This record gives sequence, structure tokens and C-alpha cells, in this order.
Amino acid sequence: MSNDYKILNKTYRSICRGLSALLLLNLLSTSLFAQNVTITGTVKDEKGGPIPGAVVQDVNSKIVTSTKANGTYELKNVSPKATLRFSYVGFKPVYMPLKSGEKIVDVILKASTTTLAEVSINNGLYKRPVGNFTGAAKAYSGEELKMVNPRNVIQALAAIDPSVRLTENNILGSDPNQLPVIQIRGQNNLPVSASGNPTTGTPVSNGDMMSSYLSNPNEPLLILDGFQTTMQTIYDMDINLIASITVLKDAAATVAYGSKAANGVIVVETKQPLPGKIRATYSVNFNIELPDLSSYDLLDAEGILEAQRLAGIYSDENRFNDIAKKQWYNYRLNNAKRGVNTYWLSQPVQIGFGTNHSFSLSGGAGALRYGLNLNYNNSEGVMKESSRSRYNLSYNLSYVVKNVKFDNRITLGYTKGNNTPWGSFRDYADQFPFFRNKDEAGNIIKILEPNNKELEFDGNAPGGTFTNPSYNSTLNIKDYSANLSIGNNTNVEWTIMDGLQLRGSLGWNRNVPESESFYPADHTSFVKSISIFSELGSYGQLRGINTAIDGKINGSYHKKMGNHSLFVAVGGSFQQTSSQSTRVGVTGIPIDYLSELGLANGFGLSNTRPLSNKSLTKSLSNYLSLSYNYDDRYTAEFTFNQSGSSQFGSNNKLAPFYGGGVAWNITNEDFFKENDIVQSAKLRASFGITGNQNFSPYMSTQVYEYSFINDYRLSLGALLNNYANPDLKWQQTLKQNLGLTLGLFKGKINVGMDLFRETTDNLILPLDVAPSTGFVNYQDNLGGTRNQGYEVSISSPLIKNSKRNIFWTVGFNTGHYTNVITRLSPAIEAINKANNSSFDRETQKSPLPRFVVGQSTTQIWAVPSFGIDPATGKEVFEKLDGSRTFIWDANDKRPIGDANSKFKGGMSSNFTYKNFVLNFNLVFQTGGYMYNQTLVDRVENVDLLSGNADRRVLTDRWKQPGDHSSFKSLVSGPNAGLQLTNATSRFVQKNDFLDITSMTVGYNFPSNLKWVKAARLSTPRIMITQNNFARFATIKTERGTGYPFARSFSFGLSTNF
Amino acid sequence: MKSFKIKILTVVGGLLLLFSASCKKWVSDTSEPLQVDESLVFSTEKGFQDVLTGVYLQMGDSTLYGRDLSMGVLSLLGRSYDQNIETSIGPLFYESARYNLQGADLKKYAAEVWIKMYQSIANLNNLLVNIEAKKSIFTGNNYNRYKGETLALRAYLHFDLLRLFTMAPAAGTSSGPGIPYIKTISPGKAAISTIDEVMGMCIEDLKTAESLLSPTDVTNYRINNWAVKGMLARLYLYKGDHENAKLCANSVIESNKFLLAKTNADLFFTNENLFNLFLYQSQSFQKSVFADQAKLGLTAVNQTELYVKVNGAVADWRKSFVDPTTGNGTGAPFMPKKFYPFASKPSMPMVRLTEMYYIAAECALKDVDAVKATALLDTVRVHRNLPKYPIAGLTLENLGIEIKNEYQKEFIAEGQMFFYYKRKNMPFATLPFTKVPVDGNASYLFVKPE
Repeated sequence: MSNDYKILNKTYRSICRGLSALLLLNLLSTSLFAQNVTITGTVKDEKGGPIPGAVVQDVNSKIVTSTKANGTYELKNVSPKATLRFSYVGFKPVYMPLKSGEKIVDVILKASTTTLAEVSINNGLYKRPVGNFTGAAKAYSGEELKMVNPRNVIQALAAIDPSVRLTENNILGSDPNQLPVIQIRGQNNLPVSASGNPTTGTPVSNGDMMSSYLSNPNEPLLILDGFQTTMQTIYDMDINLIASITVLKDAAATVAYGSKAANGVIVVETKQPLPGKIRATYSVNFNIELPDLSSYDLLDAEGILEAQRLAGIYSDENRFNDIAKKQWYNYRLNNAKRGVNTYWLSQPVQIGFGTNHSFSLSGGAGALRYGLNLNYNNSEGVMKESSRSRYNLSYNLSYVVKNVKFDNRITLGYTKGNNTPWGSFRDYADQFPFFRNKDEAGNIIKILEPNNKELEFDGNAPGGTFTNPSYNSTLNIKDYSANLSIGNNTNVEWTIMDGLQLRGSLGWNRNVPESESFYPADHTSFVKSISIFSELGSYGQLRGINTAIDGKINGSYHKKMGNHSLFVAVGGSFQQTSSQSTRVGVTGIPIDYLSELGLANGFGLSNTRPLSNKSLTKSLSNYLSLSYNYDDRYTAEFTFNQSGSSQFGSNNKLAPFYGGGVAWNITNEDFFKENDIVQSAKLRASFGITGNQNFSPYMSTQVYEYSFINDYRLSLGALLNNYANPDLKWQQTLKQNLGLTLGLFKGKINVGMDLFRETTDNLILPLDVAPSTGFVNYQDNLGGTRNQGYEVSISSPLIKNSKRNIFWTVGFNTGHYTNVITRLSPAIEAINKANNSSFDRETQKSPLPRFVVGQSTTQIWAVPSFGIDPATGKEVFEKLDGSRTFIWDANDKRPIGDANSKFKGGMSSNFTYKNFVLNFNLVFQTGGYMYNQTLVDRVENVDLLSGNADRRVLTDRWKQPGDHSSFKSLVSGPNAGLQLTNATSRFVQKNDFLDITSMTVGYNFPSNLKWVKAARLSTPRIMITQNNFARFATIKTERGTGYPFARSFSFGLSTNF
Repeated sequence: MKSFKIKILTVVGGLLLLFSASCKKWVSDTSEPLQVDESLVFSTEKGFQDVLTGVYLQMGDSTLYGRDLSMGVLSLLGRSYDQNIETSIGPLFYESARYNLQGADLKKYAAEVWIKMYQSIANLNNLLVNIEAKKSIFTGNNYNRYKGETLALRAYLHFDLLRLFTMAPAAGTSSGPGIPYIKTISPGKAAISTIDEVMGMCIEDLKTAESLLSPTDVTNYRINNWAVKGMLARLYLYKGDHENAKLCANSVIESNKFLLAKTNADLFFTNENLFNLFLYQSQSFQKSVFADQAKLGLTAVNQTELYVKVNGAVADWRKSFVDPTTGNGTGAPFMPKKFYPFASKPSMPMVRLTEMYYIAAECALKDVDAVKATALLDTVRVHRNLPKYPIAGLTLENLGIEIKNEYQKEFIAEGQMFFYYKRKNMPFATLPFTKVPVDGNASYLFVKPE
């Protein structure tokens, strides 16, 4: 006890001693610099407006202060011969050496015309000066992206970068709970699921690192403030927090990420707290989503009845049945004649309103800075009651002691996505307009037609019982998924000396996903169910936890000696991700207010037990990067990476990757003469090998599976189900890039061009093995693909008149790439075969993929068609030998067109006049093909017995000999309700489109306005954005079959206090 | 300053080196909780038992001995049923009744059998690979027991694959192509051995197993020393080596380790069998054959034909048939009572003691020793509540028929009859209880998937 006390006492005393020493030192320093002066002054921008929060620093002593709201500052203790540095974000820093006796220094800061990214390139691991960089990368500021789309940063990125492609999901449309799927420079993988591999898990939640990348193996690596993250995190984060997004494309830019780099990297940096007085920023964004139903052209009540009649639905060879069917026809016709013509499409849709409030506080003086961000974002979708709400909180703290900078960021987020209880939009598109939605009293009808007994008809209704999907909206349905995320990231940066830095980071992020779906027994999906009464109603619940721990250490050294500039970065990182989840499904909840899992009757026949999922991955990566620049003319860089992952086979746990590049600044050469055309030209070339490890974590380990439902006299058995390939490797992609950056006509035109090729030659594919080995297949590195293409981007500041304050910048970008399969495993042949049998004609209603060496992965395979024979109304096909036939045969399929477009690009215009901003963006695509599935499904593959059809069923189909029509005749007969058209070239159509993705009008209120001053606002700004304004396309398809697409308006307001 | 820089870089570099050296180990160490890495499974003695149990469980799959290699497909081929042989029993059963082994469904079924059997074999081989390295962890006689059981099961499965997929030696040459005999675990395709070679390797595995398994262990829900001897007898007989078959069968009979039943309490006579496979899902398997849609069984007329006529008797315990739904012995009893109530005996006989008597009798017949053969049959008859044959030595011709009849009665709905017919290469026209005509290209050969 006394001993402890002594020790305590000792430490206490030593602390005291230390403190007093510090105090003494402080006093000393004050007295030492007693002859120093105090400098005051004002910092203004070019227009003369004061810049609050600008940093004023004595370069030598590092004494720092910041300007007040009126732009004035006071810096004490400055040595009379010091140099002051004035800086502010978005402005060029100014260095002012003090003249003798000078006490007042007023400074005008010029806006920096170069963006942040052009000064240094941040690849998420380290920053390097742009002069020492030879790769292909593109950086966009958060403001730029927000201008394009204030609600979805990924959509904005896809609109302005030609290499980022967003896969449009025609089923899920503008569902707010649908995460975007993107890829950079094309897909390197085959869309083949590893069949026969029991360890391929379905994603638990999109917040789960591993499953997020598994569900889209082409997804680029996403880095948020230096740590790997998921698409869900980026999708749900507050757009106002984003400082910049950098897209890293080629080997030189990405190879430091080693085995994760092959799909490209997207680096997101958030805003850092600004020093100075406490600053509050508030932005609000209101948005309205309007459903876009213009692509639908459905039959009305009488029209569909006529189409049904023509298809023979109301006639029968059996006279007895014929009478019954006629009774039904007359009944339905009667209803239609009486005026029942329900427009079902409008039933489940709404105008969705959304708000996004974002509030941030930042400030701090000297060593300590802090930032607090709060965000509430609720967006309603265009389907009724579908929404996604996000709550985010983040707190930044940074502290600088001498040359060590410590910063910590805590984030807390909650996202809840409600799915609509109204069901799929498809159900409404399919519904017959001759059914009434509500009865006379205004109640929604559940069963749309009385049965034959009630009507005293002689047989069942053609098509059976029809239920009303909108009835479900009256029930207490639960269908949501939510995610709670918590994270803490810590960075320590130690500037050992000028140019030499050591950084360490540690991140811990956890997601707690949860989803529930409850459908009571009264739900229409149970109407036709054959389950017994006590099993009607279902409740499903999923709970999970996934955690990622990341650690990094990194040292970088930059030295400039005369003409030589050297940059060295060396570092290592580790990552461990773990995820687990439990899924429970129960049945038998008869009453809709018993909406609790525990109130269910039992597991039912389909669920029988809870399921859980667990996975763990570990990976390591070390890198060394060297870059040398001579005289701003020649640059050479080389990066080596060594990655290890638990996902690799036991014989290949560690993988080496490397990449390098050279760059030549032609305009800095002596022989280059100054001229009026070319002012700057830089040629870049890079080459390197990167890897992809977006595959199931357990393919390379041999695992035994215990069977719990079966026992052998009460003892459990374990069975080996896979042959683990100990030689399994990461997929590797050879990236080659040739780039040219040009500055023409004195900055009037800036051009960037990149030529690239990405060759992947060891794709992981299943290999069929002789079953006598005991296994059907195993995974091996067997496939190859090659993507090559180019990207061009041109930006031109057409008007740059700072006197009259007019700026107009126009940008244009386009890209093209081709995709070719270079190698396949024999097992793929089996998939091709299964996709090409004439046996099951039902599955051949769409062109199933076929993978052939030399063809693209997106090639559309269909049987060539000569069109409709005017004499018979039947389709004429071409066989492989060139002969003509009426019979469709899967073996006659040929490559018809590639879904991958020849050109994809965008155009943008940004116009500023005084305080007005006008911005618009459009994207276009040309040279691609698409199988018009919705057209063939609505016009020819229609099931007239049970669903509505397109108007063209009546108007455009072949009717009598001599008709030259593009759609074949309706087949009439006993089964004619279901018409069948198999994959044919007739429906392969050109998919060219022009999409006006965004139009923004903004106004910055001048700070000298009376009300602005009165409200103590500092830079209020209003912005109105319209997204998906218009679309011009060569192909007419029903867009958003399960969830409609939306046009949206946003109205944003932001201000500082 | 310069030296300071160098120091820093050296330290960082050194750290990185250490980092990469230790990372391989760190990266490799990821365990999976729901599925268990093989190194963990084979770290304990129990793990070996679990893997072996896993194979027994796999053998109890409905495709294998759980249903179709016993009371399902093979019993239809073995003509155990004549009731309800219609298309409504499903294409697989109907093709079996017609001996249409080239039929789409039977072909698909054959592929499943092939895959599942070889998967079990791969599991056994993986156990054998690991057992040598872990020899020290076993207590008592367990190393020998596990290894012996594994080898015996490997031979058992290969022998049945051989009997299903290749010609019987009686039907022609046994030097033709057989099946691959897999002794290692690798993704490479194994060579096909000849029928003779496969039988040789089976015998080799069985003999090793026999030397490893203790003769005092008579646990009959696992393969044991006596079941191995029984297997050898069965194999030698199939091969046509009557001398060895007789030796093996007699060694089992004379050991008195297993005794013939004295009551009809259990019509599977579970306790007298050398090896029973426990079936975890026997109830649903039995239902799917005898109740539900299929309702297979033997009609009253043919029950009498089989059990009563010639040298039979109504009192034969085995002539117990019931209605599958009620369990009553009156009305329309079609199903052998041994299955009722469903899953009351959740196991399937794999090697029976009585088969040893029949093998010995068949060998005695070969030796032209009618008295011995009759006596052997009589021993079984007495324990099935049948009188002895009226004479001590039946004629050789009658003995052959009697052995066949006894096989039929004893192994009804157990699948063994298919192998009997195949071994004897019986013409399809002579098969009993033919309700639907046999397919034009009927054969005893299942179609190999590779």
C-alpha cells in the first residue's frame, strides 16, 4: 500500500517537475523573442471581399493565426525578418517576406486555377507531387460532383468520368435502396457463378466488406480517407463532406494496392476541419422525385379483352367449357363497357419528397482543430412508402504537436431502407384494366373477381384467381433493412524533416446490418398458396455483424536537389475482415398486428432452421515506390507490392505485383519553341501487374462440413465437399497505359488522352473434373479476358473574363473499349450448353449468355431472323448453313451484337456570370446493342391469360396474309394465352441514347446584401438541380419494370454563419 | 543529418522485412466456424471418427443405400415388387421396372450414384492420407480400427460400383475395362482398371482391413472384421472363385459370433447381420417407396407364389406383408412387414449372415455335395419358422432353384436380388413378377457418366 503510494507520489512529482520545466521554457521563449513584433492586416480575395478563416503563418517559427470574419488578423511574436505565409483553401498561397519596420501587411489572395489534384496525387496510401507521377488518374472536387448530382455522388462520377460505367438496373429502376453497380474500364471477370462450389455465399449485407465485393467482382477498390470501404458507405455518406474523389485507373496509379488493384481504385477524401474561429455551415437540399411512366404503352380494358379474344382465351373446343368461357368474356366486357378502365400504373406510385440537412461546425486555433458534422437525409422513392433515411454523425479532431500531426475521426451512421409494401411495379403493369381497384364504398378489393359459384357461371375464370397487389398496402407489413455503422480512424503523421514523413493509421469499422420482412396471412401472396392455414404468413429476420480492422504504416521521402527530384514511399498494411449473420424465417402469423418473430407458429416446411453465415479474411500488403524526376522533363517511377491473403491457395499465400511508368514533359525541352498552339505536352506510359481478389474466401482451403440434421446413431459426421486447390492464385491483370496531356491555345483547350489495355489471364473459373475423383469441379486459374480502349477528355474555358466576372467552361469526354475473352475452361462449355438447349424453350425467351474465346463477355447471342413472313405471319430464321426455316433452334444462335457500347461519353458546361451559376451535363452512348426484352415480353411473349400487354399486340402484329409487320401473328388455341418468342435477332436493337443527366442553376448571394448581413450569414447559396431531365434513345423499352425510374428535382441551399 | 536519415530508413526497412516474414503465418491462420478446416478435423481422434461417420451418412443417402441401392431402384430391378408398376410411380422407378438402363432418368441416376460413391471414396482416401501422419494421436486399437474400416469401406464401394457399371464375370470376360480404383486424392483423372484388377484391388484392401480389424469387435452398425470376411465371400463368389468363397463363408458361419434369430420380433433380423447401415432418414425413404405416390409392393398372389408354393409354408416369418397405411395384415397387404411401422428399424442390412449360408450352399453345390448344401439351407429355414426339406439331399437342379428362392425371400426389397440376377446373368425373360415388358435394349449395365 505504502509502496504504491510512493510510486504514485514519485510519478506525480516527476510530472510536476516536467510541468514546471515546460512553464520555464515558455517564459524563456517569451523573453527571448521579446524584441519581436506584432503584425496586423487584412486578407482579401481578388474582388476585394474579405476572406475569413485564412491561415497566416510565420514560416520559420510556425506561429499561426487565422483571419476573422472581416478578413483581419493579428499575428504576435513575429521576428522582424520573418516570412509570412497566407493561405486558404481554393486560393494560391502567398509568401510575404517582411520588410524592415513593416507592421501592417494586407494581402490579396488569388483563386487557384489549378485544382487540388493537380498539385499532388493522392492514391489513398501516400501523396506524391504530380511531377513524380506517370499514371492515369483523375480527381474531382466534391463541389464539382455535387453540382452534377446533389443526391448520388456515384451517379455524378459516372456522368463526368468516361472510364466509370454505371450498370443500369432495368428491374430496380430508381429504387432508393438499390446500390449502384460500377466498373472502371470494363469488366475483367466473366459473369459466371462458381457452380458446384458450396462455399460461395450470398452477400449478407452490403455493409459487409467481403460480400460487397463478391456481389460485384468487377467493383473497383473503394478507399475512404485511406481505408477500404464499401459501396454502401459511399452511397449513404453525406455528399457535403466529400472534399475530392480521385479515380485511379492504370498500373502506375494503382499497383501500390497489389492484389486489390485490378479493377481500379476510387479514393474519396473528406473535408478536413478548418482552423480559425468557429464556423458553422448548413446546407439543405430538398428534392422531388417524379415517376417516369412514359415508356409504358399498355392496352386499355376493351383492348386487352379483344386481344384475349383473338388469342382464343374465351373459346374452347369443348362446348361446355366454351359456354363458361363466353360467360366470363361477357361479364368482363360488360364491366369494361360500364366504364371500368383502371389505370393500374398510377396506383403504387407517388411523388417522392426528400430532404437532406447537413450541418457542420469546425474551428480550432493553432494546434487543435475540430470538426463536427451532422447529417440527416431522408429520400422517398417513387413507389409509395419506399424510402431510405440516413443519419450520420462524424467528429474530427486533429492536433499538431511540433511536427507530429495526430488526427482522429469517429463516425456513427444509421441507415434504414424501407421497401414498398405495394409490391413490385410489374404486378401493376400486368394487371388487367377491366378490374376495379376499389369497391363502391372505396375499399380496396382483395380478390378482383367473384368466383364462378358466386356468379353462377359454369367454369373457373380464365387465368384463375386474380389478386389486387395494392390490397397489401392496407396491411401492417414490415419490409426494411437497416444498418448501424460505427467507425474510428486514427492517423499519426510525423514530419521528421522537410520532405520526410512517417505516417501510421489504424482503423476500426463495424457494421450491424439488420433486415426484417413480415407478410401477414392476409397478404395476397398467400391467396394461391397451398400451405395449411397455420402456416400462412411469414416473418424473416436477418441480423449480422461485420467488422474490419485496418492498419497501415507508411514512410515517404521527397527531395529536390537542383534538377533532380526524388520521391520514395514505403509502407505496409494489414486488414482483417470478419462477418457473421443469422437468418431466421418463420411461418404462421395469421393476424397482421402480431408483427413479432416470436408470435409465429413455427418454422414451417420451407425454413426448418435458422441459418448463419460466417467468414474471416486476412490480408497484408507491403509496397515500395520509387520515383525520379529530372529537370521537370523526364519522370520514371517503379512500384513493387507484395500482397498476401488468406483467400489464396496454401502454395501461393504471398503474391508479388509490380508496375512502373515513364513520363516526358515535351514542352520543357530546349528544342521546344514557344508557339501559340501548344503550350504544354506531357507523354506518359505505364505498365504493371495488379491483382483481383474479389472471390469467395474459402475456395482455397479444404473444409469439412458437419451435418447437423443427419446423425449416425447419434454421432455426427463430417464430409469433404470440395477439392481445395492449393495452387489457387489471385487473378492478375496486366495493365498498360499510354497517355498524353496537352495544353493548347494558351489554356483555351486542355486535352487528356489515354490508350489502355488490361489483360487478365488467370481468371478463377470452375474446372470440370472426372467425377471419379470424388468432386464435380474445382476452382483454378483458367480464364482470360482483355479490355482495350481509349479515353479522351477535353475541357475548354471558353470565356474567362474576371473583369466582367463571366466564366464559361465546356467539357467533353468520351471513351471506348472492347472486351474479348482470351481463354476459357472446359467447364464453361457446359454452361454454354445448358444455355443453348432447345429443350426448354421457356428459358430461351431471353438471349442467354454464351462465352466463346474471341468474343466479348457482353455479346448477345440470338438466332438470325429475316423478319415475319407476310404470307403466314410466322418468323423466318436463318440456320447456320444459311438455309431458311420457320423452326427456332438454339443451335442456330450467332453473335448478333455487343451490348457494350462503342462510345460512351459526356458533355458538360459550366457557366458563371457574377453570382449566377448554370451547369449542365449530359451523357451519351452509341454503337451498343440491346435485346429489347421488355418489348418482346410485352408484345410477343405475352401471357394474355394472366397479364396485360402492350398496345402493339393489337395494332402491330401480323393479322392477315400480305401484312408486312414487325411482330408475328397471335397464336390462337387452347394454350394461346402464353405466346412464345425465343431469342431472335429481330429484337436486338441499337442502344444509342443521349441522357441529359443534370441541369443546375445556382445563385451565390453577395455577402454585402442587407438581409445576409442581418442574418449573420456569410456565403449563402441556392442551387436547383434537375436530374434525368430528358432521355433520347433509339430503343424504346419499358424502363424500370420492378420499380419505375424517376426524374428528380433538387433544391439546395447552403450558407455559412 | 544524413546519418539520421539513413537510420530512419534502416529502421523502417527492417520493420518491413520482419513484417513480411511474419505475415505469411498470420495470413494463413483463418479458421472457419461453420465449416471446419481439415487440419482441425484431423487434429483429434474424434475427427477421424467424424469423417468416417460422414461416409456412413453419405452411404445412407437416398441415392445410395438409403433408398435406391436397396429398396428403391435396385429392388425394382431385382423384381421385389409387382404391385402398382405403372408410369405413376415416376420415370426413374418405371424405367427400372422395364430394365431400361439406357433411359434418361436411369442414366442421370447412374451419374449421381457414380459421383456420390466416388465422393465417399475421396473422403475415405483423404482420411487415409491423414491417418499415417497422425498415427501417434490414436489410443488403444483405434488406429487399426479406423484404417481397417476405411479400407473395407473403400473396397465395399468400389465393388458395388463394379457390380453396377461393368459386366459380370459370368457374362463374359473379366479382363474388360472396369472402373477407376481410386487410392489417392487428386483432381487428376485416374486410369480405368480392368474388372479383374478392380476385384484384385478390392481383395487386397479387404485382406488388409481384415488384418487390421479385431475379430472380437462385433459392432455391426460399422463395418467389422466379420463383415469384411463376408464381403470377401461375396466377392470371390462373384469372381467365380468358389474355393475361397467357401473358406470365407464358412469361417463366418463357424465362428458363431453371429447367431441366427430365434423369434420373428424383428423381420430384418438386425442382430444376426454382419453389417447394417444405419439410416437417419429411413422413414421418409421408406414412405417414398411404399406409401405416398409409389405404393410399391408384392401382390397377394405372388406372395403366395414366392413364400408358400413348392417348399415354402404360410408360417414363414418372412411371409409377413402389411398394408403400408394401416399396418394391418388383412385387406390389401402389399409391403413387406419388416418395414412397418416406418423407421421402426432404421437400418438396412448390408452383409447378412444368411448370405454366408447361401454362398456356402452354392459352393457345396459346385462341389456336388447336395447333402451339405441342403443342410446349410435347412439351418436357415429352421430359423425362419420353416420345416426342413423332406429329404436330406435335394437334387442339384432343385437346390439351385431353392437357393435362388431363398435369396428372393430373404432379401426382398433389399436390392441384393439385382446383383444375384446379374451374377447369374439370368435372361430377362426368366425374371419373376414381370408386370411391364422389359425394354428392347435391357441390360444389367448401368451407364457410366465418364
